[in-house]
Amino acid sequence: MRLLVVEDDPRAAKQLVADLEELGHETMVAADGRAAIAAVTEGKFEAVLLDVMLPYVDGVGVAKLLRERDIDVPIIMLTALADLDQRLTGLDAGADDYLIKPAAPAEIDARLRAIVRRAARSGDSGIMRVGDIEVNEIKYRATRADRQLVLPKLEFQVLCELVRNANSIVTRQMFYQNVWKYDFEPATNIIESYIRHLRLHLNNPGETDPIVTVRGVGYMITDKR
Amino acid sequence: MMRPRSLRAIMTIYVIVFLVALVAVRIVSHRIDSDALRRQVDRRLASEASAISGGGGISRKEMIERIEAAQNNHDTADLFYMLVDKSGQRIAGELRLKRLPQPGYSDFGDDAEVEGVAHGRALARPVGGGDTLVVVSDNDVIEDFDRMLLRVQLVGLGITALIVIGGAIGIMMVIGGRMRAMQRTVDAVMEGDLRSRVPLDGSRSEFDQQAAAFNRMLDRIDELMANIKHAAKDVTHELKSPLARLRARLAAIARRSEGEPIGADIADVLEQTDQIIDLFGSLLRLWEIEGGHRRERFADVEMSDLVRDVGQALLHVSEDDAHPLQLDILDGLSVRGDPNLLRQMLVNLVENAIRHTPADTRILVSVERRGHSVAVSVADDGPGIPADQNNKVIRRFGRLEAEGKPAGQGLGLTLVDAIARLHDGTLVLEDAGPGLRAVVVLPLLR
Repeated sequence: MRLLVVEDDPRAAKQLVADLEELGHETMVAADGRAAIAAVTEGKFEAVLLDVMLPYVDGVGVAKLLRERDIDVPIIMLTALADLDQRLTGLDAGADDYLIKPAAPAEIDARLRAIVRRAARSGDSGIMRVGDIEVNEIKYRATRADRQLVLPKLEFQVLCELVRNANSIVTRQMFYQNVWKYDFEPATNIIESYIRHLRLHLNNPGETDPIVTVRGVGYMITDKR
Repeated sequence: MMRPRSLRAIMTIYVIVFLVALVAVRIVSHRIDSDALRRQVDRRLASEASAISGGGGISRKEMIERIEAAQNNHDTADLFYMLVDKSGQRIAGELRLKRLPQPGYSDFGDDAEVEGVAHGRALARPVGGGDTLVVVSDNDVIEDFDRMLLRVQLVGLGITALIVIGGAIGIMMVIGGRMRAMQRTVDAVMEGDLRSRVPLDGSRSEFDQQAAAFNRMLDRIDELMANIKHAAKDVTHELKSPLARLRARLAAIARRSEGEPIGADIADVLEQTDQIIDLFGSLLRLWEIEGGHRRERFADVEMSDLVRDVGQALLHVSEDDAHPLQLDILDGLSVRGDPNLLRQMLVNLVENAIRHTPADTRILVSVERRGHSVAVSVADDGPGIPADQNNKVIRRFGRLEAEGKPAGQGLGLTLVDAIARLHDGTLVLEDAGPGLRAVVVLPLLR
């Protein structure tokens, strides 16, 4: 992906760029709000990683300005504090997602893929497919190889989150944020337990398990096994 | 336009405006009184003149008789009459005039040299045949009365002015004194004496209430400062040992000879670093809650729904961990609060029970009504904790050392306590006989 990293601390920017390039992204750095607006207005970026604390125009201001100019490039805000107000102002200003610094490269990568996918998909019918699995989010229905799956609500939502991001990783944080609506991370293995139960419901004997565990990061559903 | 800001300016303007208005009202009322008196005199002169001239059509002789009769009448002793012919020669009446007044009404003073009258009002009226009747009223009494009235009014005005000015100065002194007392306290606080407070006189007056509110604010600031100080100390202490361990680990890796595998050590170091970052995350969260800003986003929260959701979320994990979870929920109990935080509070409590009790410990989460409160409790039938340790586990970084159990950050119950307090509630740890029961009591909505 072609990314714009907006970060005023050169050391943090350098590390972020190195991490992102290692993950195969092409990056450019803007060191302040004004430079970021200019870069986005001129260049073609698939997504913007936007620090909140910036000189001249802060991250919230940048997001607001870009949205006012009808530039709908996906934006992920990076905030230093787990401050609810800051998160909400960021999202209100037009950011698509937020992450608390320091964010792991794998987490950033997963979020990027999720929001770019979300931006590309429009006119949603609620039906999503991966391999022989089909979920209808609106009608609360899931099938595997045309076999009806009877799933409790949370398991269904976990499956939807996986299928929505098929072939890319859904991190633990993403699960908590999007399925459980928690803005904190529980100490127990809630997700592991749910994935285990989901696998029991999803996989008949002899069927391959489409859910891949990515150790220390999250899970991925794939049709490439 | 400049707005007066100082107390003195406001009071001065108030006093000036008040006095100007008062003087204006007095002048107008004095004018009205004098005019009324004068009109009365004029009416009397006209009626006397008419009585003598009979509205015309009577003889000079009869008029002379009437004048003489009037002069002898006691009721008209303050009136003087004169009848002159067209050459200005006096024909009748006792009035002596240096100069004949213009026809109609006129005033005269000492300079008119009217015998026996210092100030008066004259009415000259032609009565036919070229004769003119002059009737003069002696106004000396009225003038005297008027002067006395003016004196009385001036004295009254002076007294009123003194009362108003004195009152304004009094108010200024009282308010100014109170403000100076507050200012002195602010100065003392600024100079580092955080214990300084505005003195109260116990009168429960507005000033006292304001001072009390100010003092409460200082108490809160003091408390927050103390919290920050303690927190900073605790955090420094808590961080020193993991950082020292991390350093030792890195030093050990650095000593390794080339070619030796270090993958496992790196993974270990990463995990330790993550723990430190998580600790900071939890602390930031705790401070955010203790800061109280979350109150701005409070909404009505149905506790039974919330507890059911959390129970649902933790059902699998508790089963997998051999801690069967049971819910006992009374419906329809709502509180005012932050649903995210209340959810975190419950998750923390249940996770505490799962993580710190042996396998096959049962957990019961219940929601019940206690008077005007909602009690949410998480009870287990595990070994419990000694009653004298209850406060310790709620305190920041307070942990009970136990063999083979995860150490944890020591912030779980601190966070629960902070969330409960943010919602004007309390966290109490009780003996569940056997086991531990954590009860959060929150004020019931409505």
